[in-house]
Amino acid sequence: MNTANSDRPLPEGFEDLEQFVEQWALAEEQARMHKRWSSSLEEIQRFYDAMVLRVEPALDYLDARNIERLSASENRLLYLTYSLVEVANAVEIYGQPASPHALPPERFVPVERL
Amino acid sequence: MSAEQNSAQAFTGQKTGLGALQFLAFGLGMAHALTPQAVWIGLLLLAVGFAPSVYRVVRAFHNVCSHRGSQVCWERSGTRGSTTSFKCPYHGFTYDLEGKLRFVPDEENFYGLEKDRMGLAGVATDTWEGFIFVHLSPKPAETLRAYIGEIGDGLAGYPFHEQAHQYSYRAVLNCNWKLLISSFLEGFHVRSLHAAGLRRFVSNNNPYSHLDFVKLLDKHRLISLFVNPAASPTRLADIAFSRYRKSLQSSSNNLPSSGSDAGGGTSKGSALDKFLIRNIFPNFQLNLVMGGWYAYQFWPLAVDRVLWETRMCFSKPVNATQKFFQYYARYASRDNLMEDGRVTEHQQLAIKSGVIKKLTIQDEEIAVQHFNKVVEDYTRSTSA
Repeated sequence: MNTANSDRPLPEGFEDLEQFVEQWALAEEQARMHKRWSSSLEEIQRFYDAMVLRVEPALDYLDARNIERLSASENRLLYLTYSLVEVANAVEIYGQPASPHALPPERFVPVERL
Repeated sequence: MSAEQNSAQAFTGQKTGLGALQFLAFGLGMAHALTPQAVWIGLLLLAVGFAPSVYRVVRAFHNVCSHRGSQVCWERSGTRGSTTSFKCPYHGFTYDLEGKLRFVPDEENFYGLEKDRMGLAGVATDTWEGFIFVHLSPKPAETLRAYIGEIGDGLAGYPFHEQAHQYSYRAVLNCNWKLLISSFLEGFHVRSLHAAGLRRFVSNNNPYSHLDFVKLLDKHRLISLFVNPAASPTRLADIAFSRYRKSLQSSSNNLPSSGSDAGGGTSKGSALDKFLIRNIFPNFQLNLVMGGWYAYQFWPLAVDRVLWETRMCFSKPVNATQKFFQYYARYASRDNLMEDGRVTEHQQLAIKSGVIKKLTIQDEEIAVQHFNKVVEDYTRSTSA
């Protein structure tokens, strides 16, 4: 079911984002939350600045595929767009990884979908 | 309305009072969306099984073993997809999904055991628009439909089931359940607590997020948060919303086409331009949001602990853009909800100190006062 791209970190054309795969292409929402809370604003900003310019091409690329049958590399690209969402408020609103008034991430826990 | 005062004691409460209350929303899903499974919260147990061949049957029981009274299900509330029986961990008494006692270990050593009368004690269940409710009385004095009453106006046939793609969150907070619910009954705190909500819920003309309208019903309440249509979205919100709208135009996976006014009769515009909070007494909150709906359930675990389950439901995403939007929508809510959760813990500690004897309420907090008044009335009527 995987396409020829499956052995690459990301689909062709997104090589510039490969540097972020290890840290930010996280499959689970809770892992993305922990990554956001445990990162410095500088690290978040670097990812945000690169990713926000590439999110629309990434979604255009993925929209042309069957969402139920993404290859491993295509899924990693999707996860990078999710991680961009995860850090957006850190950069755009709070100026720090998370709201200083929020519960810690381990106390507001995503539950596995039914 | 002039400033009113409210009893600090009523907020922290010496008892949760829930056991004596009315219909409770229960379950992680909607009746027709469930597969055979069990869900449990404290002393309540919900079993969803299949009747011979066709239709699903929802049953609820007290989570109490008929042998020597242990809880049958111990683990944290959740689901077990393939559950076909409930086995009490203490001695191994085992019940089926209908609550019947099916297995007694060392049965011959009991004398005069009436197995057929030792099933799990049943709890009444009913559904409203697909949502499961339970009632601790085996024969409730009123129907669920009558209980829901006017708070359900405009929702008959609402396509909740078309937006059943569900994400859930779970939090256990160290606060009284009423404090947490109260934090969703006013918009007054948005400006101070929720930086992330500021763009959407305030404007120059409405800097303190005064509500569009409030409906105080017999037991329930509906509030409509002010949403600023001219708010400039953040960069990523703009990407998420613009792409989502375009995606809907080119797919059959559409927003609810219901022509009914889900706002309850006095709102203007479509429900999707609004942020409507329906607080269905005592433990259920239903919000209609763009592209879906949110349901919160609040379960008092103790006077100063509450289990809070949040479900965010959308149409099944048909492409990456819709998945991305749904992640954005729930994440943007999540940042605010995590602030609501934390502030109520600080409030609990502060109130418990006894330093202030009264809580002061302003006009915009009238639904908070209404909610607590209803709780007080129930508590008084059931302890009399």
